Amino acid sequence: MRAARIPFTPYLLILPAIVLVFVVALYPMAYALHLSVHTSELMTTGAFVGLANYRALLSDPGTLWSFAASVIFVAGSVGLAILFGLSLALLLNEKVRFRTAFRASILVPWIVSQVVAAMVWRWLLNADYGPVASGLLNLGLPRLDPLSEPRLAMWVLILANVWRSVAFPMVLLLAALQGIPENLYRAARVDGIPWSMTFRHITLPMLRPTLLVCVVILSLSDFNIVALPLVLTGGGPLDATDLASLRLYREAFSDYQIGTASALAILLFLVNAVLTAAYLRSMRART
Amino acid sequence: MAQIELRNVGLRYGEQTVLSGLTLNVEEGEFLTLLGPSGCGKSTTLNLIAGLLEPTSGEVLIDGRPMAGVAPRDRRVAMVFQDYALYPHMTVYENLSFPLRAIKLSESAIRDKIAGVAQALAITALLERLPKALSGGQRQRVALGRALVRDPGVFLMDEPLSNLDARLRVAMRAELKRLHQQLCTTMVYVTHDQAEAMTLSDRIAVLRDGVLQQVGTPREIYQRPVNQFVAGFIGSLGMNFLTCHLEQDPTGTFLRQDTFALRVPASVAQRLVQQGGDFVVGLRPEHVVIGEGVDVDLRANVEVVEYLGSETLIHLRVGDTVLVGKAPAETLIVPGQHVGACIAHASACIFDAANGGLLATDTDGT
Repeated sequence: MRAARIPFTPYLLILPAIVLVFVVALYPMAYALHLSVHTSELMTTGAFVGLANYRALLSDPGTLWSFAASVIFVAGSVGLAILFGLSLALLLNEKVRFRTAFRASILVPWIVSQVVAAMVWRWLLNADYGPVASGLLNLGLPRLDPLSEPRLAMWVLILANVWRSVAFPMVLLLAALQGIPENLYRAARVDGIPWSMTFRHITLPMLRPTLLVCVVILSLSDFNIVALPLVLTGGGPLDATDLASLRLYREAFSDYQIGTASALAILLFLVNAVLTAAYLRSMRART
Repeated sequence: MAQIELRNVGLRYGEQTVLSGLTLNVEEGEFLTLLGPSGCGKSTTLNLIAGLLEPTSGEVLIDGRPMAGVAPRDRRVAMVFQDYALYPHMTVYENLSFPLRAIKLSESAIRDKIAGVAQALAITALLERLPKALSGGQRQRVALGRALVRDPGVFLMDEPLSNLDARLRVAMRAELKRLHQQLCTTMVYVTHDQAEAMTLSDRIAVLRDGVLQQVGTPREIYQRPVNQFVAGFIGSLGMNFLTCHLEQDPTGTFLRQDTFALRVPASVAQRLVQQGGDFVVGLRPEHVVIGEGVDVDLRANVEVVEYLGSETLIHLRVGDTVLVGKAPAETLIVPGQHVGACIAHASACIFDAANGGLLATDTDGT
């Protein structure tokens, strides 16, 4: 009998991918963990300080507010994106006129860069020359400057983000809706099931796995968002929109506090890891 | 129980005609089967009765009441789908109770109803299972159960057995028949399987390209098909067709092709002579009996022999046509052999070669 040979070819073939993952993901992650337990001076690593960076962050009310702001932003963005995405998907699942054009127009904001989207919204809502403010003034309503108003700025940020990201849940949910067997609805119609019951007891349960995927992926993306809030509100006014991701960016690239920024990155990573675990669980439930 | 009437019903999608001029009555308690090949309009007809589609012409009446604009739920119909359409995230109990919850029946009444139906269909042990944990036959029973719990006036069944394997299909066929005898509810059943139609139905309506070809009892359809299409579609082997010309000699009138000849009774011959042209003789395989003897009607070469256990099918070459006949199982015949065959003249059908319409069955003289 011939001795069993170890098949090296498969390992050789996946080696480039392993190297790539190590270089762009595993090594930076390990290095961030290393940085988060050291002091830093500009771009050089200083002394080992254990969990001091974490303690400093967690005892800072500004950080805690950043996480709270992120939770508000993510909950608002994800909730509204799913709500509008599902509504649009339900609409586009019907035989409406100009369906293709309608679908394409919703996809446009999704492919626009966050910076461009933020600039467009800044212009729209500018209190001096923006069309929204002008329109309100023409209607005899008071001057509106939502980006300078702490109570409104978060809503503006959420709305801009929902406008940008609504196409994602819409596309996934539309595909899921089209995958629901038509005969289930026909059976429900013959059985006399009202529309509300059909939606609640057939459509929603059939969409559940896709809804879960949408929630987790949108949450991950919204927790890590930087460009949109940076350009649209810059974290202001009065830190009203100072999200954890924005704070992380500022700590690292404005204040050059690499140790603190790394500790913040690790905390955000933990949040993302929990969400990813939920995503994987939802995928398993689906299969 | 309910009575259904279709009056000149038609359905068009743009330029495409799906169904045209369908007039059909289904009596109370009757089991009527809509039979035809794929795309003939049988499922469309069922959907029109259910109210899932509205006709573009004509009208559907249930118990004499026009159904135009009446929602499916108000038609007292229940439907069993080909894929059963069970709600995959609901247990069997929830599937059965769902239509009853919609009419806000009390929880105890729902429980009682489901218990009765589950017992009748032998699915009590399955009530807590999800559809994915059921076999095809069990799913089929649950789908029937969901229709039964609503006490409908009409059962509409869209090829409910076609997803089952052959053995289970035969078993479920008998069960459906038993169920109909027990309930005596009006049933409209769609199938492309002529054996199902023949065994289950009180009457069969044969459709082709959206046009009704014939309505009748299984026996009528089998013995007196109105045209070649129906004759070929009904019967497990279809009908043999031989294009023949008319010949008259002092001994009588014959329809002849090659070695095949069918003597035509005088009453029929007169009409055929008047009409002129070619004719098609239709013979069921059981009416072409292979064997030797004094009353052999034709002799031909054997092309193919198919042994079925209970009998043997023999394919004979007659001119440019292959004629399928039957022989007893124990008969030893081999391809290439020259054999004789007896024709059951009384069972032959004579069709017009030009339009395929039935002109006469050999003995009836019609």
